Amino acid sequence: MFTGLWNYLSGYVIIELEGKALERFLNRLTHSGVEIWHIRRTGINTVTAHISIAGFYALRPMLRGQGIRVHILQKRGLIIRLSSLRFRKVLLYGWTVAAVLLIAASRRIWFIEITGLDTVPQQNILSVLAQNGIREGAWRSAVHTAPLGNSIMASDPRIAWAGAHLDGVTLRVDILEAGDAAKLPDHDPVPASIYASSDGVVSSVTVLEGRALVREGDAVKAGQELITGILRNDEANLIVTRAKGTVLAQVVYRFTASAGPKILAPQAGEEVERCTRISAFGKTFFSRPATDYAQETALFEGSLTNCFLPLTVQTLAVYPTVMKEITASESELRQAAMLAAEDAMERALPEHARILSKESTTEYREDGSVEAAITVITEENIGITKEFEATNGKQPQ
Amino acid sequence: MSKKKRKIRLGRRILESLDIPEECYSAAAKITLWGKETLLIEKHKGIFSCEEERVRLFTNLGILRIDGEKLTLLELSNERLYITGKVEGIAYEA
Repeated sequence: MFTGLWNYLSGYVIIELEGKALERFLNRLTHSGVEIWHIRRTGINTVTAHISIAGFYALRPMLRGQGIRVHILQKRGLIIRLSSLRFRKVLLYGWTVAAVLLIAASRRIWFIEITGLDTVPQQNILSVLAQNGIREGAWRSAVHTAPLGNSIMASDPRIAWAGAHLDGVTLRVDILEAGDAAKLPDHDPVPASIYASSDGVVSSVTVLEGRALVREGDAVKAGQELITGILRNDEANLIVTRAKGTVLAQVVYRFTASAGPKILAPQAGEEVERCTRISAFGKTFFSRPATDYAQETALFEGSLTNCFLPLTVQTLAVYPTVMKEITASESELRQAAMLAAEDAMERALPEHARILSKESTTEYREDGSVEAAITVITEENIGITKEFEATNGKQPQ
Repeated sequence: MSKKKRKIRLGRRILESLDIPEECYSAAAKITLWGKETLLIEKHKGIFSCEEERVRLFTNLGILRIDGEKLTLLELSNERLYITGKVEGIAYEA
């Protein structure tokens, strides 16, 4: 299996034997223990073969008196290649020095890669590594990964875990930062109750601290106390807390807006501006006027569409857009009123409100205007926390 | 029958009765052919002639002739011979 590799390492020559009775000579060679292989007849009196270097030197005395001549066709193998370098001593020294330097360099750390950093500065980690005697150029043997990870973890409380490992000449440090710690509850909270911010029908009450004063299905008014922070209030003791919880309620909103009988709409003004439009290869180059325009009129048009260059040049008179009061149609008025009502609704609804139902109507009045109305039912947390004015149980009015 | 031949025959009978494979004690050449292109001959007695289309070997049973194309003696030693090339026939010459 490794014969070919061994032959290459030890070197061999390709020879040509020329003479008569070559088979007899080959038999003599094999009986003498000379390694010879890849024998091929190339002519009536010639045979080519591969022979080891030692075999070649053993072959030469056996040729005497046989009438056989030997020619070296080719020399092959690592030894033979290297032997050609035996007079190039400087090159060999260079190779040796390069190999030694390479081996020496591979025993040091040349790169430090730190991953997983988000809030902790990289310089902090590098300084911890430096304290442990690890920097670019340090010996690999100086790295003890387990203690190094522990010292990195101990250096900063924001680091939850740290690990280091060597990857060739690269030291890789993996950092896992700790997440935000949950805030501990206040041990000395200011007493407070939760009140309704708007009218509504309670759909669910979740009390974390305090005592609920309303139940599911109750209709509440704005300012009504929903969850009280007074747990006990008698002559002996006053136990208060800061009420916490959520009171979801269905709240009805109604938004109205009117439009007309005249509305402001963009229209072409009376001032005229001139501009030029050039079209070529499907693209348009346009010297736009300073403002938006509503209408354009072609003053000049020239085109070269029949030649290889499809070029069109236009000189235009454009009328800039101005806002003018116009008498709009009924559908335009309804659309404008609805847009205004929707705009009002978006501004008024709380962000966390979930819309349960939405109805919209428009009404055309005798004076030519249109009124739009949107009725929305939302479910939202209506509770707002208000602190007590004093710890004696007096509540805000 | 001479005394020597009688001894050989007796020894062969004993070995046969012990179920020992014949290749262990026989002096005859062992020929192994893998596919069409690799031929191994063990216990040969030397090369008689070597050409690209025909290789003839000395064996205990006479001259063994291998016919083929582009025959090459890939490995040659005292008892083993590897031949590669397109092997077309193997025969003992009378």
